[in-house]
Amino acid sequence: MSSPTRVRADPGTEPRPASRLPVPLTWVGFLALGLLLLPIVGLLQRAPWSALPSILGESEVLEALRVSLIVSLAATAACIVLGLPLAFVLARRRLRFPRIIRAVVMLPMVLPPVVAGTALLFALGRRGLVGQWLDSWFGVSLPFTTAGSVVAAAFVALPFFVVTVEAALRQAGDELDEAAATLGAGAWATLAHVTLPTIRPALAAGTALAWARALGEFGATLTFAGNFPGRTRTLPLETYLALERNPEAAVAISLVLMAVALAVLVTLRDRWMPR
Amino acid sequence: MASAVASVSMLAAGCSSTAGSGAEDGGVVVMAASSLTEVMETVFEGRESVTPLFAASSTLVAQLVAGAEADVLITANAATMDRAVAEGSVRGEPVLIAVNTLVLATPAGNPGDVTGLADLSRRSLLVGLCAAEVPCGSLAQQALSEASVTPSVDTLEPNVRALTTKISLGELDAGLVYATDASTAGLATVDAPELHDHRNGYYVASVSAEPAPEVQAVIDDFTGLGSTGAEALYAYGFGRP
Repeated sequence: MSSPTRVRADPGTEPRPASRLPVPLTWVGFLALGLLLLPIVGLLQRAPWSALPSILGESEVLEALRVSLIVSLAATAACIVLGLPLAFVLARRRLRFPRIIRAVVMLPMVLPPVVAGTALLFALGRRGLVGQWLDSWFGVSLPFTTAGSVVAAAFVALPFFVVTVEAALRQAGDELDEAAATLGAGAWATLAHVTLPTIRPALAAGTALAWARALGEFGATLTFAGNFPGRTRTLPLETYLALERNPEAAVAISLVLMAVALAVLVTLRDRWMPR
Repeated sequence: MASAVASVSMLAAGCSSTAGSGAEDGGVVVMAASSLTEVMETVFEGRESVTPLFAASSTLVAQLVAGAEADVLITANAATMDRAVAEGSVRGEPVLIAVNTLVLATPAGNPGDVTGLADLSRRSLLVGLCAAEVPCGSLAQQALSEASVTPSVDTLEPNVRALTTKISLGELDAGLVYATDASTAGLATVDAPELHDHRNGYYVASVSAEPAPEVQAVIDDFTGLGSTGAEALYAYGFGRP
């Protein structure tokens, strides 16, 4: 169903021609599009195009880029490792309070990031609920470390991966899995050769979304992991500080972040998302 | 009476709408450095016409330059106020209203056994400073370099309140915050004579060159000696200019 080879829709189910849409609906639709486009145009017209290479070549920017890549990729890996099992549990297991559990999973999507950061501090900080034991037993303290930034980014990005994959698992159903099982395939073999290939587009989409969210993460990172060049200062943090020191640099970095995010989303739609 | 004042100010605001005043409804928007949070809340308690906004002075100036609407700006050092004036975002004359000093602060009980400024270079301690962009950070940098202390910094916080909170939660062992923030948050302080000579001045100015009467009243509250604003500043431990 969501396999890469597209099923040709029969003419009767093609979208209605635009002329049959109520006119005001079209207007408001384009108005909304304008609302989304306007800030991008605003950024573009303030972009210091000629100074762009020198700004982006500055050592602070490159350092922030390096931290951003490490943090966002590690957070994405964490989202896959932790999120895939969670998506299976949500989609395939009979849970006692499914609505509440699903709401908890989605909470980081709507929680103000600063609140998320503070909550992480209370839980995993050196004096936090769990953090105090990490500190006294293993000598591990997450705040103000790159690992702390990864935790913050993974916390806010995880729901994007889980929600995407869970939806695909539900849509795919488990008939194929059962067929494989009847043919004698073990649980792991079924997972590797039947289930995962079926939901491959959703896995790619979930991974890309989680990565884009982790790359743009700001509030939770700043609150939980702090801000130090080369360790926890990611591109969004660099942008925030540059805004007060050198607005042109802030615009330049924002352009890069936006271009990367846009590239991810466009590729996603073209390659993997069922249209 | 109150409604008469409000309608007069509405007229005034209508005439000077290009001045960037936020006082369209007779309200006064006061942008203040985050170290002034408690003072402002005390002074403006019960005065619903006044809306205080708090952030690092540099953040406030950046917001003003970008077109944020406010009537009064109070910064925690001269440099940020100068920038606002240079950018043309503040047209009133800045007035010095108070001074503040930095202290070496630790969580209650001083778990890191900090004994002086030189301890900030101990790598085993978790040390926080304000980012160099904000007044408390530039003051800290100045004091540390004059004392020839190279701190082993773990985080550069975007404003003094964020730093104070992380120290009071015990997530940081030590940091340089304003004396007033340390006392408000109940932090322990360690005597550091190197910090005594480093102070910054708090400046107030009207955003518009011709402030509405209620805007001028708010400013007078801080510039006039013996007025409620000035008294509140001293009560919270700020120094007299």
